[in-house]
Amino acid sequence: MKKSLVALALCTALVSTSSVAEVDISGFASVVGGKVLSGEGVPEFGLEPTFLANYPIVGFYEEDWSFKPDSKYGLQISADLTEGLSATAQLVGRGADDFNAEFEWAYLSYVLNENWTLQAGKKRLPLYYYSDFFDVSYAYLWIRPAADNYTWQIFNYNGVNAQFNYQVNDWTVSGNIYTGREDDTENKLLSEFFGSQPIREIWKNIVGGVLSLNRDWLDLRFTYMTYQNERYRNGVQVTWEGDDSRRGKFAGVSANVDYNNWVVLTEFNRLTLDGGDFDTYLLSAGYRIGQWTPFVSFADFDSESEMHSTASVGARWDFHSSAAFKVQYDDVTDDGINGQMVAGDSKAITFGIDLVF
Amino acid sequence: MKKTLIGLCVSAACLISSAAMAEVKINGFASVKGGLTTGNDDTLYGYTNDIEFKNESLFAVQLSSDLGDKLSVTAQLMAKGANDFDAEFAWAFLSYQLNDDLRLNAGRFRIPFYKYSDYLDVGYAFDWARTPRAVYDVEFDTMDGISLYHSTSIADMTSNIQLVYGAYEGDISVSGALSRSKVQDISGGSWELSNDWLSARIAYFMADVTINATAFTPLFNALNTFGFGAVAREIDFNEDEGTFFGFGLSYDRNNWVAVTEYTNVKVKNSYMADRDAYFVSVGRRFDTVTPYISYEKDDDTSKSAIYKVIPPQVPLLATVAGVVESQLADRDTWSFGLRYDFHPSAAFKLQLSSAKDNYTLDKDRLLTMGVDLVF
Repeated sequence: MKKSLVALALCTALVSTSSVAEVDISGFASVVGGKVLSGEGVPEFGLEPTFLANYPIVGFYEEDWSFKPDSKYGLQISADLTEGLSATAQLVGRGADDFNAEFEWAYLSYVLNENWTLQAGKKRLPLYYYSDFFDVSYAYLWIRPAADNYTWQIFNYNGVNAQFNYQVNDWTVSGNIYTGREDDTENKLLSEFFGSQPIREIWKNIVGGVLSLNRDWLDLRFTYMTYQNERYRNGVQVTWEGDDSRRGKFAGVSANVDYNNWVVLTEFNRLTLDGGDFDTYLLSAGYRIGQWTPFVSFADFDSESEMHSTASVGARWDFHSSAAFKVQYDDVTDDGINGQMVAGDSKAITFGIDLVF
Repeated sequence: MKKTLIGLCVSAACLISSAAMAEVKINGFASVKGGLTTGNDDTLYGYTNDIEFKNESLFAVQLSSDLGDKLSVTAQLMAKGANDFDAEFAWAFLSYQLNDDLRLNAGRFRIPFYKYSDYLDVGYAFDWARTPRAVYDVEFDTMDGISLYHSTSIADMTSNIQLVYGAYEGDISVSGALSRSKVQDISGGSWELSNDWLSARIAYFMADVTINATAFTPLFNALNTFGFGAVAREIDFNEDEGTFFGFGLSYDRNNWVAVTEYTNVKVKNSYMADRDAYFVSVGRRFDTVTPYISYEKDDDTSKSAIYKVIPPQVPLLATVAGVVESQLADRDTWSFGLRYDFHPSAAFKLQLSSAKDNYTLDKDRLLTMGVDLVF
């Protein structure tokens, strides 16, 4: 092959005519507003009454109306290069991050056969049930997946993974095996919320797997991941009992039912780190009445050092074939982290529109 | 392709509305690379002994639109793993075809320092896992300004001339600290003459370089206090004249591919070394597999004369000498690798590089593998 031709094409008209790839663009957006109705805040840190709606990217509401913490837009670009090869990118701008655009996905996929696909690049770390489509709020019932569950500071990784999909009798059996690493040079949650010094957070030697079993109205998902944590505070390596790294293990199970207009969503996760267990769970139920789905939800974070929970009630209204209006009331009980409050108790209202295109 | 519709929607949604009927083309390229050094303490090109997939992975989407009447617009949105996948416009320019031979570009574009400047990030365009770092080492690679292309045929040769004028503003790393920089009045050009199998290229640029090197602020304060302000001015970058010279040859015939480039980079009245570098690379195509071997030489001469004026009893001497001599470099890098075209628009690459510092005698070895593609 003559690379020079390709190069020439790239150089002059850039990639242009020569390539045969089919490029598809799709996207999503959420415009959500809200405010804290009442709350304690954390007076010793000068924190006003606050509802922390999103831990990893530090999206929070205060007593004035704000339209930034849960708002976001995303563009997904997918290029089919034929012969089983494709390239996918997702560009996301989040209000909590001043709508700075960042590539959340940037990976290549290669279909090996009808059951297996290899992927490499930057992807979501598929810890939780909603990890893969966390930003695409249209895809789930609430304004956001429960903040108390989706707390971990690393949510992407760079690496390789193999996805599989089999049909076994009435069951669809699918899953993912992955390995990689993430090096977040200035982690937002640790640097800005749980501290005031720049913290570099490294999760390395990540190895994990996901197994999903689906049939008709039942959806079961199992997840496991292990990683090695290294951390630098202000450029100085953090040690844990003399070691400059520590191992974490994450395991979770989720069971969802969608039967006769009833939707029941559950998720149970445990992270074991430093010999301690961090347990989270989510219980949610909704009932579909035409275009409306009212729901109640309870989520809890429980460990020796950190405890908080949220009770929520709300509704989703599918007023359009690719857009939904949502309204949600959240009541947070904060029992603190190492004797101090995370953001204090709060009651908050949020509403907005999620759409896909 | 459905791109036109999307283009129309996009333009309709953002202001341009009804009048525009331009066709928008969407293309792009992506690389996913993983690498690790072979020794525990080895580091090379940002890799360590832990396998890492972020360092040289990237994804770019390119939009180009022919607006008619010889006018077109091109933008390239790129996310690099090394930059935490933040989206950036690496290129954004308008193009106007003056006549058959002449084209004028205005906006942000690549500075044509090297043979592969226009596709520095398009790994698919070359055989290596990365362009040879010894040569491809100027700390910035885009500029904002205007560029004039001239292309014509001379006998059986194609001649391409590109002249540029403009500036770069951004961060440049000095002594480990990202420092606000202005490279002004960048002017120069490149000329490439090629036929089917041989190509020769020459490039020359000049610019005024200013860098607010915060890492040196304490040192400069001390020098000024002790009456060595002139030494501080010999170290800093304050509208100092920089020059770049480059020369390249490439050969591609009967499945043999050979490329060589030489560059010389200088910034007068600054502590930056006079940098001389070259590489030679030879490869052989066997159908879809191209093994290659390359040698890079980096020979940077430090400006010891800067600190010779400081008397030996002045304690600052050691600090200044340390700063100036940090620029001294003599490195040999050998790379062996292969490219495997497993797909019509994607290539798998495997490369082993070994870099030797001839002063410290340290050797760092790096194994890289990955996929480059264009779409």
